[in-house]
Amino acid sequence: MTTSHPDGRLVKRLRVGDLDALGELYDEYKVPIYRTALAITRDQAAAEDILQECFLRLFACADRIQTDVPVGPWLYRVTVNLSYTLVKSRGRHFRPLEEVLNRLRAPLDLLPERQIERMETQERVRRAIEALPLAHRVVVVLFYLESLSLKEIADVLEIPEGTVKSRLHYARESLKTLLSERRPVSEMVYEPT
Amino acid sequence: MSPRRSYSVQPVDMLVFETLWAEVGTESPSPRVWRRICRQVQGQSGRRPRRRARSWNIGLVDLPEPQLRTYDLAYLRVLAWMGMLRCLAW
Repeated sequence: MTTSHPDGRLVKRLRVGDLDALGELYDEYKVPIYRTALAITRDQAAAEDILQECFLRLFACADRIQTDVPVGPWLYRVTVNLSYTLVKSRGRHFRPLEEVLNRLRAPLDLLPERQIERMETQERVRRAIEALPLAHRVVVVLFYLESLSLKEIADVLEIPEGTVKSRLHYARESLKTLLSERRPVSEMVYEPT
Repeated sequence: MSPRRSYSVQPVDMLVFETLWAEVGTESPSPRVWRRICRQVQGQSGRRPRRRARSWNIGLVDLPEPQLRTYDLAYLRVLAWMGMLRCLAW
């Protein structure tokens, strides 16, 4: 007999059309799901659409979702698939978020030198991440931003763990190369916040 | 979550994490997303979801019943008018 996960109990309530249960799951997962979609698509409106679609699908597919495991990996999987579809349908990576660019560019003359250098570094890293193939960028987002383990990423993407590992390795090496084209990574400023 | 990475953390890891976090780490969806989800779920046929009665959902609490009641009343009025018109036609 399988033990029902707390998420599973909510999924069971979804099956009888309980909007409260959907609300509880939404409150639990809305931020990581939105953040993941935003990091992949780089478009706020698209990320909100993906979040919405994700939870509508959760409600519609509740009958087919396992109740003995957390619903997080399922939501991540749908998010990644929807993000893939969206990015590919537009044929290019989305333009960077405007406010992030403003944050990176506008106050340059107002900030201390150290902070400016740090922002420039982040901008370079951001461009290097953007230059990665989509499949590798997805792994980078799930690994670094969402702190998923290799196995969890493998489950989400439904690929072997070895593939995740190689994609992550490739991504790290590419980033190192891209970043060292101008300056060695080891020389870059990093100050833990 | 489960056990983390098995290799040493390098400067590039910290840079990637910090950059991603600076970009989207503090972002959250607008409240209208939940309202759209509610509208869509309530609009789906077959299921009649139970309403949420939470402080964070105050704006949605009174939606379903009044809408249905208004619709029912309007429908009954149309039927009544049609009946009256038929009587007059006779």
